Amino acid sequence: MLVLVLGDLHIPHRCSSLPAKFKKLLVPGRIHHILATGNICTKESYDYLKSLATDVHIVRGDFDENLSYPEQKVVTVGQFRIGLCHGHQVVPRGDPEALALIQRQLDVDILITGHTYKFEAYEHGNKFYINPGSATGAFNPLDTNVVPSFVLMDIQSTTVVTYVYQLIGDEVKVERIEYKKI
Amino acid sequence: MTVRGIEAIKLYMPMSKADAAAAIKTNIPEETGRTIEPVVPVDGGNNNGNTMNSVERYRQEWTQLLANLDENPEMLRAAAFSGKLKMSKFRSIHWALLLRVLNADYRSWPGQRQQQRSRYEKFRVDYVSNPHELAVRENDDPLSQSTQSVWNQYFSDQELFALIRQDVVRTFPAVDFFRKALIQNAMTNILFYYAREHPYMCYRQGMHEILAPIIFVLYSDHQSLLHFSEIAKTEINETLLDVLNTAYLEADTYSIFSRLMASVESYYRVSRFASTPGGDLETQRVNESPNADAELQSEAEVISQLNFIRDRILAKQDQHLHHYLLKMEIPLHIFGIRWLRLLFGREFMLIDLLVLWDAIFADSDRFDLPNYILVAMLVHIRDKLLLSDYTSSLTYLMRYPSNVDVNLVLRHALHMLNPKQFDYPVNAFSCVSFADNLAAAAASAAAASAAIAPTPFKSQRVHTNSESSTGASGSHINRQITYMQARNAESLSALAKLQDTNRMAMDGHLADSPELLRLELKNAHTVIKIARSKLLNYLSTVRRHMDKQQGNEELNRTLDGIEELCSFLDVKFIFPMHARTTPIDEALEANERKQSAVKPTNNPTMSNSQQMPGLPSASGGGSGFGGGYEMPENAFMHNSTARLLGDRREIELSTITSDERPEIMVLQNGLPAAEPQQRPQQ
Repeated sequence: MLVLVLGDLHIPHRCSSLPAKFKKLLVPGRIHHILATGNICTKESYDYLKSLATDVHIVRGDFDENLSYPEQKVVTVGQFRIGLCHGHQVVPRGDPEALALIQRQLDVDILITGHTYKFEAYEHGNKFYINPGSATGAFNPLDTNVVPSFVLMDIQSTTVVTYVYQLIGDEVKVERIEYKKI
Repeated sequence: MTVRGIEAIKLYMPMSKADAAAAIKTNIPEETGRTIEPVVPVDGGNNNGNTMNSVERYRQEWTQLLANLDENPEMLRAAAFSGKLKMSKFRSIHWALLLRVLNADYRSWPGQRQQQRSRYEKFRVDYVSNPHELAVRENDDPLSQSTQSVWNQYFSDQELFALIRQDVVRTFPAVDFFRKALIQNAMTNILFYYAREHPYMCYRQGMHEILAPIIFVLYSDHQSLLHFSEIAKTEINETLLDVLNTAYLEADTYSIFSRLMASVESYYRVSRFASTPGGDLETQRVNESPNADAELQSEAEVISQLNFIRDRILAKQDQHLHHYLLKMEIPLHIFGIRWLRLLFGREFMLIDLLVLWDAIFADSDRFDLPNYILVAMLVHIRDKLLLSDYTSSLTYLMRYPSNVDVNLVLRHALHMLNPKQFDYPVNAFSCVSFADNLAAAAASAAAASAAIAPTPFKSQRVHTNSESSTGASGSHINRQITYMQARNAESLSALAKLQDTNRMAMDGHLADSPELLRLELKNAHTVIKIARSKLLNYLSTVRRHMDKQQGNEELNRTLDGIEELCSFLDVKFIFPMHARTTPIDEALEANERKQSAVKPTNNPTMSNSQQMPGLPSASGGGSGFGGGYEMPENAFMHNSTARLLGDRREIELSTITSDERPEIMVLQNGLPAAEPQQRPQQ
């Protein structure tokens, strides 16, 4: 089961579109689910995601036009409970302990957040935390040099293999991180 | 037979898998037992003797097969051509042999099978890879577009699989056998492996229908072996067990399928240049137009083959139909592509189809026979086609009539393919309804073009007419007509053979072949004879009615004239030479009197009608010389018969008129000597 995780697109406010290299990779028919961490901003971006996979889950970021998106969401894929939250509610932003709090609140195996514009994936207290970064490489107030990145999870029963796609320079670099549920 | 066939399938293949085996075990031996030996009782009480019989029969068929292979492998071909495999329990082996999947040396069969099966097993390893579980490879990720990527391959495989699956579940929707999950999975796998093994072919719609009969035959063979091994107490031949091992249904089916596809792949191929399946097929048309529209270009190969069929085979066999198709602008590829691609799978019942395939496989690797089968199928519905307009013609072609006898089509096709080896089927055109036939006769009479094509219709026409003229027809006339029909068919096949040796004589006008002339003459004689007996027939009918209303002298005179014509039509009748001196001759009159002794009235105007031998046009129905006498008489005759018979038998009347013209044309063509002889005397 392939699950695409991305967020913080900020189209059209901070970026015109996804990088062409990313667009080329994202073809319909391969991805089963999309989990978006928010800040998709416009309906057009949502429609684009919808064209990649029919099952799209979105939480509300601080710049989303659509206010009906939930703040937090829990999705079950295979044997994994996956929590989704944008992260602007977390103070300090991206702090592991603060995120662990949400993880406990939602009681999830994997917690996915955004808002830091920086890819991160780590285990903390036997739980898995993923931050897909910004798929468009949109700037943020603290950092103007953001590396565009998104995450693809291959979920097989009790294993999740995370592929991290980063556009470094003009090339897409892929990293692979494995997480086993205990 | 066809109905029985489809019922048999339903019997063989019950829906639930659990009782399938049981049902098959009981059904197959009884079913086949009944057809081979009608005396064998089919009720359950005599099961014991029955099963013993089937065991022996099974064993005997197997040993017979091996013996044939040892002595004369060509026997297999003959059996396939003659449709003897219909009841065979080793049809799959026959097919494998005919397609050279297995060679004739049966001692090496286990080895060959082993090789094929291990190759098939390898496909599973090679082509089925699940990247989810695979050990991680560097530089590979689920979104990779690279051609080396396992993931990429995996996704395109999934697409292919879904595509195949979609077609497979719809295979032969009426046959339960193909609803089984086991069979559907096997078919999907086979097609998938084939597509992966032959990337230039990939999977194209239609392949699944080629595969379906193969897997059906193989599965049936497996089931009868299972049944056999269960009831046979003795040990079973090792080779047999191995060759028909049920565990390798997929692998063995694949071997036959891929071999068959190699032969028919030209029907599927989309590339612009490739080998020529018809042998001397031209591909220039394909090559010269690289910018033609995509549809035409992609189908070019099969289209050029269909054009070849139309121009080289159909035109030779049935010029009239060829012209018709051209005139109607019905290109063969509208229906021909489907016919060829599925090897006629949609046009015949499954059981009939297998018979057809036996012959196709037996023919040669070049697969010429399908071309001829296609033409034979067309010729078989020619009268339906010729009589219909564009739309209904298309309907006939798109939905081929199901009442066509497959054996007849096959015989005809084989005859066209190889006239020396296979005789022309005598009743090749009998599969038409009565009403159609009359009209067809009229149509062919109007055409009267090619030498071969119309001839079968003449005999056919006469036959139907003799049926229609109920009361008056004497039995001896019927007998005579039947005899002449047979003779006609005989000479027809002889004619066809002769023409095959002289391929230049496309339309039967090889000027100086005495044998051909003789045959044509013979044919003309037959026609004349038939015309005469029929004319007499009608005459007696008219006379009978005449007796009731006495005294119409003019009418009597007319009838006498007709009778006289009849006597001229007697082939043995020789025009009296001395008639040249005087048109009215006493001796001739005497001669005629003998014949007309039975006439109810003897009228003085007899001499008038007796002039007629001198008038060649008399038989022609009043054209040219002597029209002064005949025109009114003939016209009158028409009127009178119409008055007498019109109410009751209008159809027949129309036949009389349509009958006469072509036959008289043949008469004039066939006996050209009679005319010039008589002319100067006038």
